Amino acid sequence: MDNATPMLEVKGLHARVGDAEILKGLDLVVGTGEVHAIMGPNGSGKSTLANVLAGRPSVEVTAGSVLYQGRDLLELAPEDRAKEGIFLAFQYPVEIPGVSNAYFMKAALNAARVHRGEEELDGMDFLEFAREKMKLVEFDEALLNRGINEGFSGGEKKRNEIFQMAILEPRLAVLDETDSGLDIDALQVVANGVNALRAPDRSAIVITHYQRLLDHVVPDFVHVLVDGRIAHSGGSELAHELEKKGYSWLEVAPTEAATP
Amino acid sequence: MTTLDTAHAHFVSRFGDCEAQLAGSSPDWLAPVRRAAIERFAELGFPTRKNEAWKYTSVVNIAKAALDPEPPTHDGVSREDIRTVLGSESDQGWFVFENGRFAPELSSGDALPAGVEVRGLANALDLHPELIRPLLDREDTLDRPFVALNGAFQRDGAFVRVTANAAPEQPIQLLFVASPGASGRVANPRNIIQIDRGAKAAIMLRYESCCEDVYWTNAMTQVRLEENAELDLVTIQAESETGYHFSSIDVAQKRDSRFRSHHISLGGALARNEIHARLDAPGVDCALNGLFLVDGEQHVDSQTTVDHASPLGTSRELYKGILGGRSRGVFNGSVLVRQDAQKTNARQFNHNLLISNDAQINTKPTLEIAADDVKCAHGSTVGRLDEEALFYLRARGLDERSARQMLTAAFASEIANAIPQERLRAQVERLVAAKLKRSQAGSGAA
Repeated sequence: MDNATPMLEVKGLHARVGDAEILKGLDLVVGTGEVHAIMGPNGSGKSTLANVLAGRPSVEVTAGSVLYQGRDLLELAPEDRAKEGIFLAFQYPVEIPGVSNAYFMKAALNAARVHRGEEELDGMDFLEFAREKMKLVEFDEALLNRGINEGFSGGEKKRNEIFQMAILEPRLAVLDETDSGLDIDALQVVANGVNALRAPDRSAIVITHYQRLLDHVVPDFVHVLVDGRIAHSGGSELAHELEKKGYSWLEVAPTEAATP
Repeated sequence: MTTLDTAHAHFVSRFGDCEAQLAGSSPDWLAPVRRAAIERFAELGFPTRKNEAWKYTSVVNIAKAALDPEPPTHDGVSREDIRTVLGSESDQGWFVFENGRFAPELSSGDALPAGVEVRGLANALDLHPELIRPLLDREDTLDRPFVALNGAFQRDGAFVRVTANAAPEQPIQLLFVASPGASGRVANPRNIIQIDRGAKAAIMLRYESCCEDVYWTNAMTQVRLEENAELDLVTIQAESETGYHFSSIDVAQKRDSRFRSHHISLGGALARNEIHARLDAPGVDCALNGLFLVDGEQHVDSQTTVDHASPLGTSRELYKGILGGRSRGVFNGSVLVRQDAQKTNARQFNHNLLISNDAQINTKPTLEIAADDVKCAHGSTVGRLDEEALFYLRARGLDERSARQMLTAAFASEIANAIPQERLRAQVERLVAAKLKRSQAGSGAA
């Protein structure tokens, strides 16, 4: 991939969940090394976009294209996207009693390593690697040995998402309202996790409802999603403007604003 | 005559031919006990599906197999075969029973710890008649046709006794293996487990096979826990899929005793596993955990009863079923709380996971309460793997097959995790994982 190829290129994306059309012609380009924030009112399609990128089976793409590092993303199964470096931090992480976090993460990491032609990590090597990452996201080792998110608090679940992201070191991280419901300490942890991954060859899409997170993870671009389309784009200062003015001023004539 | 009638008549008539052979050198009191049992079996016949307890399980295939109840011969199994059957657990101590008969030459392991007695039941008859006779001579067990059949044809099995206050560190492991000599025959192991006052033990009953033909293991196990005794009884039923496996475990519990059954059913073309626990004295604790894991054309039937006959008893039952292929499962659990059993706390649940489109389960948990100051809960569920969980695992890079396997294993793990003894738990985990792998391969995506 040459530097001119963007990390992600979404064109005219239409998607629906059940009978409801949620995305209605979304365009978005995320350059390599960039962090983009996506904001917008409830129901505007932020999570649907995240789910399209991760390949959730219940979301149906009806038109448009998504190129990831120049390749057609939509034809890949969710696991292949993950192995190619896409990571979705879930808005509502799932509890899976009976599968330990450690076992899960070791399997996930090794699946990606095998995909890249690297050697699998054994239990000891994995643990050493995981400990380093746990420190970074202040993740309690006791949680590593529990069932996936089993009995975790809301904050612990989100922290676990960031821990998993740190383990998998994605090329394109998509955070779906990871900051919602977090106190300021947990928010800082999420921000540290994202900032630690910032690199010229990695990108991130941070979906958030609040400007607060963007004080800690300063985005290169901010987009406002309204009714299934990008209604407005700008620099990081846009987040502050939105915090003050809300979204209503953008809800008129979104088509015009979306024109690049 | 129906197929069932023909088989029934054959079994009854063969008793006369075998009686002398069965008697062997056993004490005189046993002959009338056997005769009472065959008479009862003659009355009852093979159960039809009109019988409520057999509504979802047909025994026609067993009848069609034209098996001979003459005790199987004692041959064909070497220590090498036993090692193969046991896999990685073969270096542990095992008491081996071939076609239901104690085989000391195949058994292995260190000397028994103090306070533990293990021997063949036939050998124990003369040593402990006061203990064994009332258990063999129990009319109330004979209402189940195949327990009656066992009563008539049994001639050996395991006798295990843990004496007062003994607490052996390692579990006592019994292996029941069907040898090639079981081909076309019925083995009727009869087991007695006696845990004396204040004793604490863990026992493994593992059923395996080196017989690739049709055969039938028809086992009856009677467990008695005296006051304040404690027992973990782990059963792994891993018969070959050409075999039939019927087993009844009857449990009688005295005051303050604690019994936990962990029943794992993996093998057999048709398996029927019954556990009947009677909480006969105050303060008794009884836990019935079970896992059945079937695929292909297998049929598995779990029947349990917990009879709260005294106050202050606690019972917890959790059975989980995983069904793939075109398999069929039945869970029929009943909890009875009698009028005197005040302050009973009873829970009973059956959860099932269907991993193929053609598998089926009939589940019927029932609760009958005659006392008024009790806490009871029961229920059952049937479902498929959670799509949301599946997506979560795939979104982290696990392929769909591994993700399904991981979730299915997680569903099963609750039962293995409840086994306190590491050695027994590891064994269950290993055999369940191996079976899961085979089921998943055979069932494809649901």
